[in-house]
Amino acid sequence: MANDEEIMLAVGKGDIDAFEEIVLRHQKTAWQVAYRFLGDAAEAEDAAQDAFMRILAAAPRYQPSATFRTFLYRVVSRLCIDRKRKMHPVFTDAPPDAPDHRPSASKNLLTSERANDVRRALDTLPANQRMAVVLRYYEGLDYRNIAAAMEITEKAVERLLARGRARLKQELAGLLEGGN
Amino acid sequence: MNCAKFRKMANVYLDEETPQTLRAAIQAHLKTCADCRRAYEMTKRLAGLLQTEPAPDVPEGFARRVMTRARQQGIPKPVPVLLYPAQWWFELASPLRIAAAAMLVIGLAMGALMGWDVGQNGNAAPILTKTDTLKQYSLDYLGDAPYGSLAQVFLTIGK
Repeated sequence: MANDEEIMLAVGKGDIDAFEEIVLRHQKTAWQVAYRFLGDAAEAEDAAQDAFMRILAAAPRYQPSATFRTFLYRVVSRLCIDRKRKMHPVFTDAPPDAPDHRPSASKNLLTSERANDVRRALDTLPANQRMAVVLRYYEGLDYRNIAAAMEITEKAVERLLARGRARLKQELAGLLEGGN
Repeated sequence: MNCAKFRKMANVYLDEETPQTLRAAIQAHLKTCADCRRAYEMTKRLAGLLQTEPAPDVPEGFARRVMTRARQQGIPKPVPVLLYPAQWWFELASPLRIAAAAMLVIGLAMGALMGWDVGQNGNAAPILTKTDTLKQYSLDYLGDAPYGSLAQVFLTIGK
C-alpha cells in the first residue's frame, strides 16, 4: 500500500481519486483537531473541509520534505487559529439543555459537566496556547512536531504549554484540588 | 536541584522532553520535596482531566462532502519543476526560440554599435559654446525696450 507522501505526489499529478484515500486516512485527525480547538462541530467541519481543499490546491507543489501528517497539522492549525481570531462570541437566549435526572444518567452527567468545565477552561486560552495544548494532550505530539505544525520553535512550544497549563490550573483549580 | 529549577523543568519533565542527564536529578528532587511533588501531581492530574472529554466521532458523510468539493475545485495544473537552469529555454516552442534569439542578437548588435560610436568620439565632455543670450533665451522680443527700462537693464545684464 502506498504511503501518504506517494499518494500526495500522485494527487499532484492530477489523480483526484487518490485524494480520496488521503481524506479517508486523515479525516479523523483533521476533524478532531479542529473540533478540540474550535469547540463547535459546524465550525470544525468547515475548518477541516477547508484544510483538505488547501491540501488539494497545494498538491502540485507538494514536496515530501516532512511527513504528510506534519503538513496536515500545519494546515489545520493555521486555518483553525485564523478562524478563531475572526470568530465573535455568539450570545443566545436559548436555555441550556435540561439536566437528565434519571439515576443511570448521574455518572454521565458528572462526566459531561467535567467535560464542559474543561471546554470552558480551554476557551479562556489564547489561540496559540490552546492549539499547543490540543496538539500535546489530544494528539500526543512531542515538542518537535508541535513546533513543526505551528511553525514556531520548540522553546516557544515549551513556553506556550507552560502558560497554557498555568491558566488551566487556575481555571480548573476546583476540579484539580478535589481530585475527582 | 532546587525547587525553583524544578518548577522550571516540571512541565518539560512531564512531557518526557527532559534530557536524560537531568531526569535523575528531577526524580531525586521529587522524592525529597513534598511541595514540588504536590505541584507535579497537580500538573499530572490536569493532563488526565483534559482527556476526560471523549474523542468526538467524525460526522457522517464528512469524506463524501470533502470529495464533492474536491471534484468541483479540481487539482491545479502541475507547476513545471526546473531540473537545470536553462530548462525553460528548451521548453519554449521553436518559433519563440528563434524570435528570442533574433531579439538578443539585435540587442547585442545595437549595444556594440553604440559602444563603438562612443569610443570614436572619445569620452570628451560636450563642448559648451557661448551662444547669443538673446537667441538662447528668446529674449529678442525685448529688443525694442526703451533706454532705462527694466527690460533694457535685463538685456544689458544678459549680454
